[in-house]
Amino acid sequence: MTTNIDPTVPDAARAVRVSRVHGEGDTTVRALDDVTIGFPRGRFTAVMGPSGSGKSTLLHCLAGLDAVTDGAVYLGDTELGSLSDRQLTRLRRDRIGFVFQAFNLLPTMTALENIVLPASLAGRRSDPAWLDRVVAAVGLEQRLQHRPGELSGGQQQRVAVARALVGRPEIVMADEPTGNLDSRAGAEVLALLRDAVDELGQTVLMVTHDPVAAGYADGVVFLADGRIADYMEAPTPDRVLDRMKAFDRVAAGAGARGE
Amino acid sequence: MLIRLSLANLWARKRRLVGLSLAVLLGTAFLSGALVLADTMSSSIGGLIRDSGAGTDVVVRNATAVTDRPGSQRGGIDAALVDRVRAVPGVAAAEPVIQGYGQVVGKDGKALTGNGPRTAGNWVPDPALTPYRLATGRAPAKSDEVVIDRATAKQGHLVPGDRVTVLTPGPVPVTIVGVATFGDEDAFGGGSYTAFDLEGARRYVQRDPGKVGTIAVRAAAGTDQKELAGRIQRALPADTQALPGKAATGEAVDAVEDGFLKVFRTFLTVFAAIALVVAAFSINHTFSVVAAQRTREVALMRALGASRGQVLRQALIEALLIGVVASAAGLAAGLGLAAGLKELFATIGFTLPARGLVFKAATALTVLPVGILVTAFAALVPALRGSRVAPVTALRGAGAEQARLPRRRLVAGLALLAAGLGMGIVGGGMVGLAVAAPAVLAGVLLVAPAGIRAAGGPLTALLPRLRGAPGALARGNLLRSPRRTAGAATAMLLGITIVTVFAVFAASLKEGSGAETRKVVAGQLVIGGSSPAGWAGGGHSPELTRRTAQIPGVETVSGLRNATSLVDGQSRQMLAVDSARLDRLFNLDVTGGRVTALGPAGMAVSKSAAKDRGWVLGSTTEVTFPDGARQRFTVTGLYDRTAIVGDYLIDRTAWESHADAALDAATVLRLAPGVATGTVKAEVQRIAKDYGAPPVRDREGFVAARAEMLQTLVAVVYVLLALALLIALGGIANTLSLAAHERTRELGLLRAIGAARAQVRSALRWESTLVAVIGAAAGLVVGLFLGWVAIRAIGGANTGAALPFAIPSVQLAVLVVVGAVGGLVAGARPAARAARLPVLRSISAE
Ligand SMILES: Nc1ncnc2c1ncn2[C@@H]1O[C@H](COP(=O)(O)OP(=O)(O)O)[C@@H](O)[C@H]1O
Ligand SMILES: [Mg+2]
Repeated sequence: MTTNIDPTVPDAARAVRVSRVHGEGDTTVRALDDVTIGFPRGRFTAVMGPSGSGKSTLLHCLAGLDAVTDGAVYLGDTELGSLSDRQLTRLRRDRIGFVFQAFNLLPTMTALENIVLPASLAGRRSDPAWLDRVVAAVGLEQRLQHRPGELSGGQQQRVAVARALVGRPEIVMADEPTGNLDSRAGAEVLALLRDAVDELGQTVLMVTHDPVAAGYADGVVFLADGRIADYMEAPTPDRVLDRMKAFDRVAAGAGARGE
Repeated sequence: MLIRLSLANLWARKRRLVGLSLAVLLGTAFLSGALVLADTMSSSIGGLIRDSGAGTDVVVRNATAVTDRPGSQRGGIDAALVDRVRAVPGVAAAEPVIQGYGQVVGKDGKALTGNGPRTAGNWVPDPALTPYRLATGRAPAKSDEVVIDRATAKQGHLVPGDRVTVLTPGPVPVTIVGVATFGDEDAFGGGSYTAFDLEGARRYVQRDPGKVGTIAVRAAAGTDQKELAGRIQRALPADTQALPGKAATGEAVDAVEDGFLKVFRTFLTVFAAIALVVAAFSINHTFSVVAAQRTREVALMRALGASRGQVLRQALIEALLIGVVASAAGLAAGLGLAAGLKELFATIGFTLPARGLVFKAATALTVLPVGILVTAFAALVPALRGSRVAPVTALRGAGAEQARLPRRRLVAGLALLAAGLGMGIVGGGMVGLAVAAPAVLAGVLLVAPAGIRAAGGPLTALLPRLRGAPGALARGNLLRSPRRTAGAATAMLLGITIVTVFAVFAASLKEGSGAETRKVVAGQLVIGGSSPAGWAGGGHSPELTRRTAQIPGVETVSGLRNATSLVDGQSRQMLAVDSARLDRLFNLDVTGGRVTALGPAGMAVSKSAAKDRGWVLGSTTEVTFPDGARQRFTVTGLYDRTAIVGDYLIDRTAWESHADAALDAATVLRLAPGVATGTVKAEVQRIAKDYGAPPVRDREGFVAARAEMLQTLVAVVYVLLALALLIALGGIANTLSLAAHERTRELGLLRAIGAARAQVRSALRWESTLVAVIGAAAGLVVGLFLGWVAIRAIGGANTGAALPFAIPSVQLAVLVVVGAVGGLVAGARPAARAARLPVLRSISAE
C-alpha cells in the first residue's frame, strides 16, 4: 500500500519502494517490504506497529543510518543512497535531529555541552538567541551545567530533545523517546515535540508503540510485517488502541494458522 | 562448575580476554627473552672455549696467575721445557703455544679493531692441539708469513698474497699466506687471531727466544689425562704447572661464567625485573578496568544468589587461567625477543658471541610461575573490590565505577609523599634513597587520582578550544574517572621514572668523569686510551711513545701500561709509567711524598687504596709479577685523583723485565711552553701512521672520546629500558581499546548525531596521548628527584669527589616526546577500530 499523507505539502523525508532485508539464506528477515511513504513538512507524524514490525528500521533508513536493500530514500531533494559515509555523517549532523529511547547523552559532558554537541562537531557556534529559546522551551535553564548522571530520565530526554531542536534540522526523528519514562515525564517530552511543531514549525517523525504517545501526533502510520498497513489522521489514544487491537487479532489468527 | 562458568565467561568476552592476556604476555616475554639470551651466551661462549681446548690433554703453563680475568695472559715458561715434556712417557705430541697481542693493520693504514681481544701467536701444526683450521692458503713457513682469521680477512678484504702490517705492538711487515676459521666460526667471538710460524711468534710476539707461552700436549692413546698431567708435573720445575685439558677448559669457562656472563646475566635480570614491575602495574590496571566493566554482571550474579566468595573465586580462576595461557605464550615470545635483541645489540655495536638460541627448562620453570603469580597478585585487588559489589547495583544500574575518591588514600598518599621527599632531601645517602624511592612512588600513585581531578581540568581546559569537539570529548573521558586515568598512566609513569633516573645517572657520570679526566690530565696531547677495546686490551707500541719524545717542542712523555699483578697476593690493576716527570703529565693532587722518580722499587698509591690497606708513606708491600717473580715495593707517594691512572703506579723500568707484551694503552705528552699544540699533534699523527694510526687527541678531544666509550653501554641500557616503555604503551593501547569497547554505545551515538569518523578517531587518540603525557610528565618529575637523590647518595658513598648533578635535557625532552608520540601511536589502533564501528550496531549494543 502506498500512502501520500498530504499531497499539498512538500515532503521533508520520503521513502520510495523501500525494502530492507536482514541476514542471508534461510534466516533472511524482511524488515521493510516495498514501503513507499512521504512525511510532509511541519507535521508531527507517528509510526506505530507491533514490536518487530520494522518501525525502527524505517526510521534508520530515513536517517541514513541504515542502507536500504531496494528502493530510494530522500531527505528533501537529497537521495541518500548515492551519498558517501562522510556526506551521510554531515547530513545527520546538519539536517536531522535525533532522540533515542535511552543513552541519548554523553556522560562526560554537561547538559549544555550535549545540546550544542552537533554544532561543535561542525565547528560552529549555536545561535545564542535560538539556543536560549529552545532551552527555555524544554525548561532546563537551571540544569545546564549538570551532567547526565545528575539528571532524571525525563530531564535527560528533554536535553536530548533540545539537542535535536537547536540545530533547526529539516526533520526530528525520535525512536520511542518516552519508552523509558513514566507517564508524567513522557507527557512532558511529547508536549515538547508537539510545541516544536506548532510553534517552531518543526517536522517531527516519532516511532512509538504507545497509543497515548501517538495521540500527540497529527497523523499515525501503521506498520505490520514491514509493510504499511494503515494511516490515520488526527488520532486519539482510543482510536489508535482500537486499531492496534485489530492488528493483534490478525497476528493471533496468523499464529493459530501456524504461520 | 565455577571453572566452567569462568571459561564460558572468558570466551564470551574475547576482547577482554585478549586485553588481559596481552598485558601478561608483554611482561613475561621480556623475562623469558632475557633468560634465553643469557643461557645462549653462556652456552655459546662455553662451547667456543671447549672447542678450542678439545684435543688438548694437558696444558703446561706458568704457575703464577695475576688475574683470573678471561683471556688474560700468564707469564711465559722456559722454551727448553718443550723437549722435556716430549720425553715424558705417554706424551704423543707436545707443541709450544705462544699467544700475545697482535693487531692487523688494514690496507688503508688503519688498525682493524673489533669488540674482542686482538691476539697473535704461532701456527700449531697438530690439528688436535689447535681449534684453528685452514680455510684457504697454507700454513706459515717463514717468520714474516702469517695466517689470519676469516673475520679479520673479511673485515679488511684481505686474501692470501696480500702484504700488511701486524702490530705486536711494534709494526711487523708480513705476507698473508692463509685464512683460518675457529672451528667452523669465522673467529673466536669478536676477537682476532694472527698466526706466525714458531720462529716469527717467538721473535715478534713472545720477544724472548728462550720462552714460550704454554705447551699443549696430546696424550698417547689410552693414557689418562690426569695421570699424564701428574707425570709431566714431576718433570717440571716448581714455577710451572701441568693441568689436565678438561680442568683447563673448565677453569676458563668458569672464569667467563663468573666474570662477564655473571655481569651480563645480572644486568638482563635487573631489566627483566623492571619490565615485570611495569607489566604488573599494566596487568593490574587492565584487571581493574575489566572488573569495573563487569560490575553489573557481578551484581546480577550476586542478586541471583552467588556468594561473595564464589564471585571472588571465579575472578581468581579466570586470572589464573589467563596467567597460565599468557605466560606460556610469553615464554614462547621470549625466544623471538631474544633473537631480536641479539640483532639489535649487534646494530648498535655490541655484538654478542651467541650461536643459535638456547632454551633451558629452567627458563620455563622461572617464567611460568613468575607470570602466573604476578597475574594472580595483580588480579587480586580488583577481584576483591569486584566481589564487594552490592547486589542492588544490578537493579539500580548505577555507574560502573564509584566517582568519589576515598579520602583515606589521599591522606596516606600525601603522608608517604612528604616522608619520601623529606627523606630524599634531608636524609641523603643510600638509606635515604632506599626509603625515598618507594615512598615517593607509592605516594605519587596514591595521590594521582586526586591530582588528576584537581589539576587535570585546568590543565586541559585549552584542549576543547584548540581541538574542538574531539578535544572536549578526550578531556571529558580523561576526567570522567580520575582513578582509571591514573591507573592507565601508572605503567608509563614508572617506565619514565626509571629511564629518567638512568639518564640523569649516565649524564652525571659522564660529566663527572669528564671533569675528573680534564683535571687529572696535565699533558696537552693523548695518544690512544679511548678505543672501545679498552676492555679488550688494545694499545700501541712503546716505540711510538719513544719516538714522539724526540719531537721538538715535546717536554716530557709517558706511556701508560697495564701492569696487573698480585699486590700482597691480591689481583690489582697497576699502571707502569715513565715516572721521571709524572707531575708534569698528571695533576694527581699529591697528598704526601712524591710520585715522580719512583725508581725500581717505589710505588705511588691513591689515598683511598692506602687507607683500605692501612698503608702510610714508607710502608712496603710484596708484588708478584705475571712471570712469577716477587719484589718488595715501598710506598713513596700518596695522591688523591684516580681518574685515568687508577690506584697503583710503578715505574716502567720496574715492570718491563717481567712482562712479555710491551703495549702502551695510552701515551700522554706534555709540550714545552709556547709550543703550538696543533703543530706537534700533526707530527705525532704522522709518526703514528707507522703504528696503525692510533687516535691522537688534545685534552678536550680525549675527554670527549672517553665519554664516547660509555656510549655503547648507555645505548644498550636505553634499548632495554625502551622495552619497559613499550610495555607501558602496550598497556595504554590495551586499556584504551577496552575503554572504547565499553563505550561502544557512546561512540555510536556520537556518530549518529553527526560526528565524523575522523573526529571519533581524533578524540580517542587525544585521550591516549594525554594519558601518556600525564604519565611521562609525572615520571619525569619523580625521576629527576630520585635521580638527584641517587647522585647525592653515590657521591656520599664514595669518599671521592661528589658526582655533579647533570640534567640531560636533550635526552629528557626526547623521552617526553617519545612518550607522547608513543601514546598517539598506542591510541592509533583502538581509535581506528572505534571509528570504523558500524553506527547502527553500536547504538543498539548492550
Ligand atoms: N541487524 C539485524 N539483523 C537481523 N534482523 C534484524 C536486524 N535488525 C532488525 N532485524 C529484524 O527486523 C525486523 C524489524 O525490526 P525493527 O525495525 O527493530 O522493529 P521494531 O522497531 O518495529 O520493533 C525484526 O524482525 C528484527 O528482528
Ligand atoms: Mg524499535
